[in-house]
Amino acid sequence: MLNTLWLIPLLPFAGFLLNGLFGKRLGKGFVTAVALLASLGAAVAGTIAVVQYHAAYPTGERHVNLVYNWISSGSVRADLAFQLDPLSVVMLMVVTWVGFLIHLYSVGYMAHEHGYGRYFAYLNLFLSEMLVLILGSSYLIMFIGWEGVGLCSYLLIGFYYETDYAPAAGKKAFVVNRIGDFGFLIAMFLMFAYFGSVDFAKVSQIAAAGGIEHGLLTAICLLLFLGACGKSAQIPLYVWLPDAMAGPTPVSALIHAATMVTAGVYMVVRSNALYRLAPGAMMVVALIGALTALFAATIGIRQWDIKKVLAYSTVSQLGFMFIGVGVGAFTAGVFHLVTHAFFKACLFLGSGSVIHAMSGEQDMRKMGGLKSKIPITYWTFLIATIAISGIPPLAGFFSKDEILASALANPYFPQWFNAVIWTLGTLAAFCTAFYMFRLVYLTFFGSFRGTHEQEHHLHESPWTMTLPLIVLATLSAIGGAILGWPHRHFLAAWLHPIFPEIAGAPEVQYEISPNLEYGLMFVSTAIAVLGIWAAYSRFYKRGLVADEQFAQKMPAVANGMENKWYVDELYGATIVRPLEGFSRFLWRGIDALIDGLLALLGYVVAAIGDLLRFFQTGNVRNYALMFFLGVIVFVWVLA
Amino acid sequence: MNLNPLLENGWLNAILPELVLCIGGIVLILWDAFAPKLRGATAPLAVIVFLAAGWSERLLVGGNFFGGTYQISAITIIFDYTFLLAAILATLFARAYLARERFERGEFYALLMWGTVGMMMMAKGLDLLVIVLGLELLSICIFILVGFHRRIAVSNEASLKYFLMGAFATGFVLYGTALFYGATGSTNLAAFSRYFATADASNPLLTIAFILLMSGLGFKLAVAPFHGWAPDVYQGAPSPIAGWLSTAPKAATLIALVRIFSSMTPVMQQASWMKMVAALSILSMIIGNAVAIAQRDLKRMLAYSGIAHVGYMLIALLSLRDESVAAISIYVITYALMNIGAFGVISMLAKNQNDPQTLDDIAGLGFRRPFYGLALTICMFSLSGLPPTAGFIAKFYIFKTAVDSGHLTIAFIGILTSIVSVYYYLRVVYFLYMKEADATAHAIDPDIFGTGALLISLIGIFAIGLFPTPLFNAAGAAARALLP
Amino acid sequence: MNNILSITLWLPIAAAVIVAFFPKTAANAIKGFGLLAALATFVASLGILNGFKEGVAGFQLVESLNWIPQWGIHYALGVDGISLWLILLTTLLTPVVFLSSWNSIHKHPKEYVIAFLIMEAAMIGVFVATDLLLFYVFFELTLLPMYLVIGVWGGANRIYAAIKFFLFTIAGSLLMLLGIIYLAFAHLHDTGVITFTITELYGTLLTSHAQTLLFFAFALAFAIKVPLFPLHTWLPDAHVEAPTGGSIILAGVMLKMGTYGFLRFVLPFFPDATAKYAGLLIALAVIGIVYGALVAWVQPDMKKLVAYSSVSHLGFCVLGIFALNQTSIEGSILQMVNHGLSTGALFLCVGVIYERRHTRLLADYGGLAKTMPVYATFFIIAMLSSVGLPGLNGFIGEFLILAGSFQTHPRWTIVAATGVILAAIYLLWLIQRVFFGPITNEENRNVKEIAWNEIVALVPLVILMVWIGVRPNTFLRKMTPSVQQLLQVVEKQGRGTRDETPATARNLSTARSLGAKSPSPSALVVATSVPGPSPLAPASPGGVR
Repeated sequence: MLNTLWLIPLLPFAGFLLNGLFGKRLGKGFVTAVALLASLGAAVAGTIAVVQYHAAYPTGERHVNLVYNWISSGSVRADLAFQLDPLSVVMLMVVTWVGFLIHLYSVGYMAHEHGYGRYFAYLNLFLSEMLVLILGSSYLIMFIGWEGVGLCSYLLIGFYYETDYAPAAGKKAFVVNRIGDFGFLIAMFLMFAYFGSVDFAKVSQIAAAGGIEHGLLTAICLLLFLGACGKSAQIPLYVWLPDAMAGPTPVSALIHAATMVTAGVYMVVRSNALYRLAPGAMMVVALIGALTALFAATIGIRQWDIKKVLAYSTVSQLGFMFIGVGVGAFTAGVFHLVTHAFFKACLFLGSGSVIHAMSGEQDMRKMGGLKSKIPITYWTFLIATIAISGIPPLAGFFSKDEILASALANPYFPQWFNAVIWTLGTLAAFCTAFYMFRLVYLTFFGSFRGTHEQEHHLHESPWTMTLPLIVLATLSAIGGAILGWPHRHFLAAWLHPIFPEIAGAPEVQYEISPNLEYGLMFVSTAIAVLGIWAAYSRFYKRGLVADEQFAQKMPAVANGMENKWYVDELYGATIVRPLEGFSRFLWRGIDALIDGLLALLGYVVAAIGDLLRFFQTGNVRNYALMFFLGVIVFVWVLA
Repeated sequence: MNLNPLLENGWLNAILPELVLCIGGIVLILWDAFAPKLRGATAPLAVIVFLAAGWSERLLVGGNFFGGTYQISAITIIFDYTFLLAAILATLFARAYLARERFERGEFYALLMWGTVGMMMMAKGLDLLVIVLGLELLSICIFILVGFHRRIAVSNEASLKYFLMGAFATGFVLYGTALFYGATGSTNLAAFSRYFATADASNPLLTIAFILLMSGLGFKLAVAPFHGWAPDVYQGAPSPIAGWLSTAPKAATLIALVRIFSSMTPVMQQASWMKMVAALSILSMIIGNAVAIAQRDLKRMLAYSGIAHVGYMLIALLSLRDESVAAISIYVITYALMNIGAFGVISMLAKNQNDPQTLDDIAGLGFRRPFYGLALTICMFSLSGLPPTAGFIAKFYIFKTAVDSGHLTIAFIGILTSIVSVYYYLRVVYFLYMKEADATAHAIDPDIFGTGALLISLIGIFAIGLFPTPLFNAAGAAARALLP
Repeated sequence: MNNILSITLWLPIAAAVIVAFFPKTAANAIKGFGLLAALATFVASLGILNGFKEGVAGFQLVESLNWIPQWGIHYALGVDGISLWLILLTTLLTPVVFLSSWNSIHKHPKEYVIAFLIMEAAMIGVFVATDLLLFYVFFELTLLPMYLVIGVWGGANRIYAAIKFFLFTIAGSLLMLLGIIYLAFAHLHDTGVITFTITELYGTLLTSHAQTLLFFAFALAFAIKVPLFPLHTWLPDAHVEAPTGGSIILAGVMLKMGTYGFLRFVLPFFPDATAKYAGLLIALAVIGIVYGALVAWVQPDMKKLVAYSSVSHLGFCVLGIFALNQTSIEGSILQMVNHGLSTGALFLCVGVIYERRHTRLLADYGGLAKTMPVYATFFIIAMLSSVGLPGLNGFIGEFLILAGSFQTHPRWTIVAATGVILAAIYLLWLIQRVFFGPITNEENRNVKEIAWNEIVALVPLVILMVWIGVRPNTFLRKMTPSVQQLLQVVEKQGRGTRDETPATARNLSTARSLGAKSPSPSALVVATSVPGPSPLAPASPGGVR
């Protein structure tokens, strides 16, 4: 398996081709079989590869599987090659298995949609591109997957293409991602220009060897981070993710929660050698992450659409991950990535199950009291919620706590900076607990606020949907403890080989004094409980009323949150519309000007012609005169 | 009286083509007089006569005759062929035209022949008087031919205009000749070259003489500003004649100029008389092309394009070298082929000759009569000098000589003006293919002769355009022989 | 076959002549024959590919006959890594055109087929000619057929577009003609040999002044053809008015004649001037990239949108060329092909829908994905290739161009890279407006799905898009040596006129004799008597003497 790594992305790709070309004709059964087999095949193949890898490389060097030399032109050479190393392994496991679960879930969820084949074709394509992204052995191969998943998210967000908002959201996602990719591209050009390669190992070797100009490294890191901001929805490029909820819910779970959006984190960890040598860049990453975490969380507090809440929650959680990698706690970042994959997938799928039960309704104001109607969904959802809120011993607690602890204890940044980051993060954590439980109370508690046929229609989802929920809920419950129990940190040990020794660069696992550590554990737990209590006190009894009261108390804030702090409007007014106006000016103005000048030239010539015609009187006398004058002039000039 | 000094041996040989043509002309007139029933045969007869003349060229042997006033050389033979070619094409086109317009007369062809004789004399004359003699003979024939379409007004008007202006111009030529005689004591070119070898370039008398001569001949060339008559005359003249008139006489005048100029070096250069030639060339290129844009009447448009083309030919004349003479001879042959061809298609338009033949008359012709449309298109593209036609080769040769002898500026102007010219040639193609024929559009009635003539010019255009080598060799050799 | 080039070149012309004798009424026979001829030509061009030796830098499969020996003009053909793929692109797109326009051309099918066959021959000629004048002849010969195609089979405002197209191009190329002559004579005075053979002329020494003049004479002609900002305004009109086939060929091949001209002539002939003015052209190219993209974004008309996108894409090619860097130049050669495929496909798709609905306004569409899914798929693939999605051809070209240019002109390259973002904006907007959203216009509810001939025309393009995207080396490998050699020539000549004092002295004398009224008779004799140089051997390394 190790020397046929390319098979892992190829399986789902084959599924994509089959479903894409013949899905329509051969019917649902065929599509389901192909899709599930493709994703399961990838998962199994991946697992086998991982087992073999661990056997072959117990110390965790990277294994490279060269397929062929893809591009070689002048100084630009790039192989199509896949690699396995501890980091890829983690991603591989998450992506394939969560991916498979969500495929399974989709079978139930999409059962009644038309375009069933198209959906699974896209989903398989996404899986394969995502695998290329995480298995690629160089930035360039990674970029293939990077843009590929962008395409898939474009297609899947716009899956309901007959609506007018879905395609728009898809376009927005693709374009905003392209802005990030622009940074990624330039970063690659810099690497080619100065390192002569974009292969992960080579780049980090060269960087680790030292002697690289500091400014260059910072530039590369920041440009890469711009790419990460696009893909992982960080300020200022996060705006596409909330709109992306226009896609089917499983898609939101897979692409916009569990896997694709974490690619940015993956890339930063992948480039840890570069980042560790550019502390300035790391601070930027941490700060952006912290700001995003809080900012998104505040918006999440006052959304009505169940998926929108989860979307902003995702943005916020991604912010946490970037805090982690930003302060140098790369493992913590990855750790949170994994746990987040568990509980956020679970939450999205749960919300999907709710929406399914509510026959398509997404507005929480129309829900309520569902807990008895769809118990499995409720319990799984609750577990995931507790996990994300950071109550020990569920998954979220360990990862989030580790991140915040590292942020505060980071010995390399100035203390005040650490304090700022930590405070922002902690506030975000509070908000998280708050809005998540608001969601739970509004959805599952109180009395049903929907229409009658909705109520009459309420039902628990089929096993294909509930099974993934249960699995993911279990993982959200115990995953954290297994992977990252403090001081018996499995993940840290596992990932250690991917952090090369670099003289003078920050160590990735720095000591945190026990007192601080346990103190912080307590604090963050307390914060979480506080948040939950705040939500409980407001929404458990009063439900929606609480929101109205809040709106009356401080309308400005409420409006701001409700309208996402008007960021989209801001962008529209400051960037999009001015640019459009400018383009119109270029078209109507400059182009017209150029044409006008040329036309003028033409008219001048024609005018000269007409003018000279005036001499053509048809009158011999004038001809003779002209003749004679000509002669005179010549005599005058020459003689 | 004793003709011996003139009748040296071989004199008959020297003027064999001329004799053939003169006699042929007389025969044709008589034929027309005695066998009016067989009028249809006059054109073929004429062609035969021209061919005979052409054949007789092969009997000529080079040298000077009639007391060094008449020169036979490779170049004169090339030009003779050019004149004959023009005449033959004109004849072939004329047949259907005359028949349609019902004035088929033997004298028509006779006059063509005698005009050709005149041109041959201009080409061969080594003495200004001989050149003037030929010029006059030619002019008389042209007066009549232009006005040949007796019944319609424009034709008569054209004839009269040409007559008046021609007389006016001849005056200048003669006066110029007289002044030269006064300065040099001779009208013989050989004597000129002896005199000018040592002449004082700053002598204003010479300059004035040159200017007068040049402007008189410039009239025949229809270069600006001596071009006023051309559009009106071409428009009025029967189309085949217009085509012939726009090419052959110009060729004759050019070769005469070459002789005259070459006899006047080095004063030509020193006295900067070339400035006049350059001025004429630039004026012609600009005025010709600019005004042509404003024309909707095809014949007038071609008249102006003709003015421009002479402008191009004069560029070559700026540097008196074998290359440039070769370039000019190539150009006149090419020009004869494409311009007479264009006029030929126009002459096929069955429409009242009193009205102008406008662009609308050929609307949609390209699809109505593909062959004739294509023919006109090819002529247009050759006229605008696009490959792979003869027009390109000719123009290329001109610019090549210009660059080679350092006349970059004027070559540049030439290029710019030909960009302009493309527009109006293109407009013809536009009418041919992209304009739907409206009700008033006129049919064309081609006959076998006209079509044949058209074929000849097309074949010629492509032959020169694709395989110019033999012509280059001939012209080059002839030119080198002319200017040792 | 050692005259495969001639065969490829003359097949279409022969076919055109034969078609001329078909009866006007036998439309299908005419189209069928035209298609067959085009396919035969394509097969012949595969023969070229087959005979092409990898790793050889100079011209291959050369043929040379004296054409006009007095002027040292040859009927000289040859192919190298720079022209190879462009030839194949030409021979591929012509049958595509015939297929796609099978049902759309009702007016004068005979003349249509003839025009396209002659155009194909002329375009092939442009790419295979190794004699400067022969090149010029073909370069001009492409104009007339395209003029007729736009003017006869075009849209409402076709006349204006056709004449504009013709005048723009002719203006440039006539000035170039003057430049060609001047160059030939500079070479004559420099070496005593008059020749128009490209490889011979590579050696020509020129004063920097002369170089500058000639550089602009040539560059103008090609800049108009590309078209480079601000000379691009003929393109949108020409594209919008031209029939689908015309647009495909115009965008697919004709624009490349400009970029090809830069590579083949401007760079190696005028290395100093190139070095001096590369910045200017790069600036124009980059402006064109952004400008074209922005303007494309606000177009209400599909075809205009794609047309302006061409301005943007060709900007990339020019940037790559004047970055003077192995990678970037290979990239831009590849990008020429890519653009031919993707934009060709886009125009084809626009034509498909135009033929059914007779409107190109975006506003009239929406929701077509429902009524014509297959068509939508093809359109989206073409769009993605044009956007430069990794895995498809467009990405390779743009990436190589940018990565290469970055090494020589980082700042401009960063600006150019924004074009990648903008491309996504306008093309996705196009897709969204046409295919997605609710069906607003009832006429779109029952549009006929894409027809077989159109699918057959599109499939090869799609296959190539993927192929180039996945195995670019197949294509890059063949061009590498030629590009290396080109850069060497630029380098060597560049130094040749800079340091060698005797050389410069000679230049001055050259200049003087050029400027003089009557040049030395010796030169004159040479000019007329010396026969043209012997056919260049394939081994001759770029003719650097």
